[in-house]
Amino acid sequence: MTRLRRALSSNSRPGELDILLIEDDPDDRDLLVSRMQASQPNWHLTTVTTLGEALQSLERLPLPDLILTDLNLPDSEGTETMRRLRAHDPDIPVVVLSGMRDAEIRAICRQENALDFISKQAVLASDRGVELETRIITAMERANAYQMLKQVLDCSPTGMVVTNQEGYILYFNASAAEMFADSPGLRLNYPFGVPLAASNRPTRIQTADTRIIEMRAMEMVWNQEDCHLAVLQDITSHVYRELDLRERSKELQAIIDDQTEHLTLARDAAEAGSRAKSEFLSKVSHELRTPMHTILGIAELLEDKLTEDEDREALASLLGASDTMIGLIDNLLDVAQTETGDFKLQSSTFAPEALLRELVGQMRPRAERAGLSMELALPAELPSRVKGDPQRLRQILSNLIQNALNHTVAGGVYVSLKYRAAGPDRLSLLFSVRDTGSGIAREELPRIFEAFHQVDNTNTRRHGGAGLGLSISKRLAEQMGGHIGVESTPGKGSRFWLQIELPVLDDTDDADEAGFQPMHNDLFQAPEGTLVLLVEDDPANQDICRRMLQRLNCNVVVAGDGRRGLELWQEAEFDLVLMDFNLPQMTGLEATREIRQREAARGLRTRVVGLTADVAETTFLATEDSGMDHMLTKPLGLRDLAAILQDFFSPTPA
Amino acid sequence: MNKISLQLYVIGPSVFSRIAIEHVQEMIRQHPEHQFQLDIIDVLEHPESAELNKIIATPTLIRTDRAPNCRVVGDMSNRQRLRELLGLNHVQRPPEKNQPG
Repeated sequence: MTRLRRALSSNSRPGELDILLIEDDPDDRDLLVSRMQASQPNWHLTTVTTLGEALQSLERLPLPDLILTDLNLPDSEGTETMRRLRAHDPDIPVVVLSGMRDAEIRAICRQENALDFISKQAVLASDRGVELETRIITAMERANAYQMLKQVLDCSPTGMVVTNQEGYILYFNASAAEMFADSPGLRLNYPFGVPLAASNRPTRIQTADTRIIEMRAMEMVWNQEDCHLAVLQDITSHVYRELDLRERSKELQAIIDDQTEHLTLARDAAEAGSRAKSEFLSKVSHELRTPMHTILGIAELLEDKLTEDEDREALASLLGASDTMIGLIDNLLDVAQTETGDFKLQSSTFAPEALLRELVGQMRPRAERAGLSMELALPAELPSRVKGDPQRLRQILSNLIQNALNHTVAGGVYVSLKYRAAGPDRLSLLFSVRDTGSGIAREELPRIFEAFHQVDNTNTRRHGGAGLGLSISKRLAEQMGGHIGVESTPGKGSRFWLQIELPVLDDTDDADEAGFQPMHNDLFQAPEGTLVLLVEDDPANQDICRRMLQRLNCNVVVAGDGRRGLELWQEAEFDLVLMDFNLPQMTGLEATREIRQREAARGLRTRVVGLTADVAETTFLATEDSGMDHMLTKPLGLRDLAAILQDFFSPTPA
Repeated sequence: MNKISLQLYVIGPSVFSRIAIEHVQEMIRQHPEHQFQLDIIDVLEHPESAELNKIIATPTLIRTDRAPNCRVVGDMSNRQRLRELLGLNHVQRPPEKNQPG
């Protein structure tokens, strides 16, 4: 900068020029001095004879505008002279005087960035004085041009390093010097190395203090020599910002992963909790069924013994309450089972319209008590019998009718059945339950089938129930591949419908419809002398079952466990074995299989009916694998038992 | 045949260093006709060595088994160029013959 200003200022006053002349030959020195003083009186010449003196002078005096030097001095030779001058100040303009041959001196000058070289022989010829001055002026102009260009290059944030073919530094700008400021730093003639980069993209190099530099490499000609140019960009801050961002994104990812894991754990815990709840519900329901078995059984047996109207009414209330209770427990069990996935459908043959008739018949007294009418509309031509799960279908329709009765104060409930063929062997049945009740608001419709949801919670008491009926109905319908739905006009009433497709059974087939016979008084009576073996460990259940069997005209022998049961079976010829599933010593299943095995030798097959409180087991036990002919679910109903006996022992099919 | 001595200067266990080392090792594998001695020098661990050899930037690769030492700096994946600069294309010539300038 200083030098540039000085060079420019001397340029503005072309007469003024400070020159340091380094020449050891006294003749040559005197001749040069007298020549320049004669023609350029404004040039101030300082003369020294050795490099040592020259360096001292550079230390002591203001820097000269130009150094005019011989290369071979008493204390330095050739290239060495240039380098030591440059070491003092790399930018100092130097014009070389030499007696050597042009080719050699030219090479050194080029290599060492001398501004020009002047042959002493040429200068000292008496008539060539003008040439000396012209060349010095030209050299100064070049020095000025070089300084201006250098200033521009030093202002650039892009670093530049020029090396020769061996990788030694010929030039570098200020930015490059700053990038490599750390030891050893950039110096002229230091080995930078030949810069290597692909022609179209930069490569990354690192400085000693681990700065990251993006380098482009180019070929160029510098002072008529093939050279390498490294163009450098300090990208340290970009890279660290990039690394920092990457680090932060990693941290964020870690946080997200962490939270996801928490959520997963929470979800698993919630699912496990929900499962546990369903299982608990299922267990509690089973536990509740067992004492209900006792209550209901004893109540049914009492029915025959009571003669007073008052007592019979009380018993009717007891039976009604028990029925309701069983219904509630069954609902809870259904919810639990559909949630745990334990739910299984059974399959038997039934006539849809008979099921409806029976159901409506059962519900009609309740409707009449509430001052409501109840009507059933059946198609003129009745549908064929179908195969499906009549108990579950009945459960759905019962829920729908009860729901209609609950929400209707005046008017009535109208039940109808329509059907059409849905393929060669299938019927599509459409059950409909219409009421003239309060109706359901439009916004409530989507939630009407949700569990534990009631349209108006304040009405729960009047309507009864836990709000499970519709939810269970929907789940059951879906299990059976059917659809359930509702349409409603608030204030006018609702219409619930159930659409279900079932396979048709050949009409000539005799199916068991005993299940829909409602009358207790017409209970089937077993043939005289029917002998039944009851294998049951629970004393209360033993008692109830024994009484029921006796009520149905059977002779009963009781065994308390599976092994004892097997012994007794061996001793007599039983018409029927009622086998509880959960038995001490030997399970009902094992006992039954044992019976089947021994029977094979005896050639006489005993009917075995399994008893279980676990509804989920019935499906499995109903298979041929178990060896059982039929399954009954506890609590045992007198009517169910009667139906089984009728099925087995009736002289002609029902 | 003379052994070719190479010094590769890198900085720390960075990705730059690893890439440079891999490229030089790959170049060596591609020249089974030569015997190589490769020294990998971490500038941070051996600052005196870097100082002595005036290592200005890394990665720098120097061939040291002959004078003048040839050194390159930058992208070691440019193998064709690397071979030229290290003079590997001319090994069949007599060893005293100069490299093309």
